[in-house]
Amino acid sequence: MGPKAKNCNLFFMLGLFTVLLPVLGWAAPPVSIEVKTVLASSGETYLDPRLAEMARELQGLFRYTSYRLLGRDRLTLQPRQTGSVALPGNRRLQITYRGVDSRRVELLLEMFKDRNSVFETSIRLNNRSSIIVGGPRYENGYLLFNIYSAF
Amino acid sequence: MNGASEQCNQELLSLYIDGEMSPEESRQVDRHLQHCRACRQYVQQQAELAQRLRREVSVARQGVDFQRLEKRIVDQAGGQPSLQDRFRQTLFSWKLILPAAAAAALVLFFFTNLFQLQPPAASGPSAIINSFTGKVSSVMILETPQSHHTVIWYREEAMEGNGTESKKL
Ligand SMILES: [Zn+2]
Repeated sequence: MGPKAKNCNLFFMLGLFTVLLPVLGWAAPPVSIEVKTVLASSGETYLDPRLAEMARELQGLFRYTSYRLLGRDRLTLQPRQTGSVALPGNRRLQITYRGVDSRRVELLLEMFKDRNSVFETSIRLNNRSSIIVGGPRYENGYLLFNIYSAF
Repeated sequence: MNGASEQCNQELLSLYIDGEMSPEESRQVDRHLQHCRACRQYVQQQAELAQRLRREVSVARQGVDFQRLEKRIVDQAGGQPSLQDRFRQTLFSWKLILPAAAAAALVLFFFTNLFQLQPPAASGPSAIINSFTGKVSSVMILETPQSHHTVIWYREEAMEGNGTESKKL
């Protein structure tokens, strides 16, 4: 390879780099996450107005008559950063932000109870949308965690 | 479906539920149902079962399709080393002809196309579950019927001898 070809290569690598940088940079903005902790139960009828939309949706799947908001936590994560939210019953949800594509946020969720890992799930969540994780028994009902993310 | 055995016919009732009867036949069944409680219950149960099945099948189908589709796209995009090689090949074989800007545009074209290949979010579930591992006694992945919100519903495994909280389970 002659010196001319080497220069040419360098030129092209630089060109490629300058194009890729903004693309990669765009692909990893900080992401804001909100975790709503909800206690769903049957028996009494109660609906927190802040949960109206979620409750309406869940009506098609579950038969709970009461939805109470127990807590609301917000996190802002940089790419590859891990944050954590304390949840009722000595539970903790750890969220790692792995990156984004054009419309989905890739998150690693890990649930702990009494410091033991309960499960770990890797999800790709639509931008400005949420996933509901639920099931553990708590007091007279079940805990639901509505995890919303946006970038 | 006991008693009045001549008129109680599950096969006919299935046709009735599936809407595969002529209007006249269906009127006959209607008349029978007015008098026969057992058949009424049967019809109601079958209808509920069919509805639940449809819902579950549709949830399962949506989950599988999108996951597979996305995986295929991801495989095509990232899994094959050939894509990167192709970039390089394209750049290197054309480097003496194309100016850098044009090559850059080519790369950008590849990238934007790659992103556009992904299925539209509006019609899919709110989240795609890539993996789920853990010490749970059961887990279900569901989707709400209207806004297609993904729901992970799990049951904690009873952890014995692990503090007071777990004993409540
Ligand atoms: Zn009958």
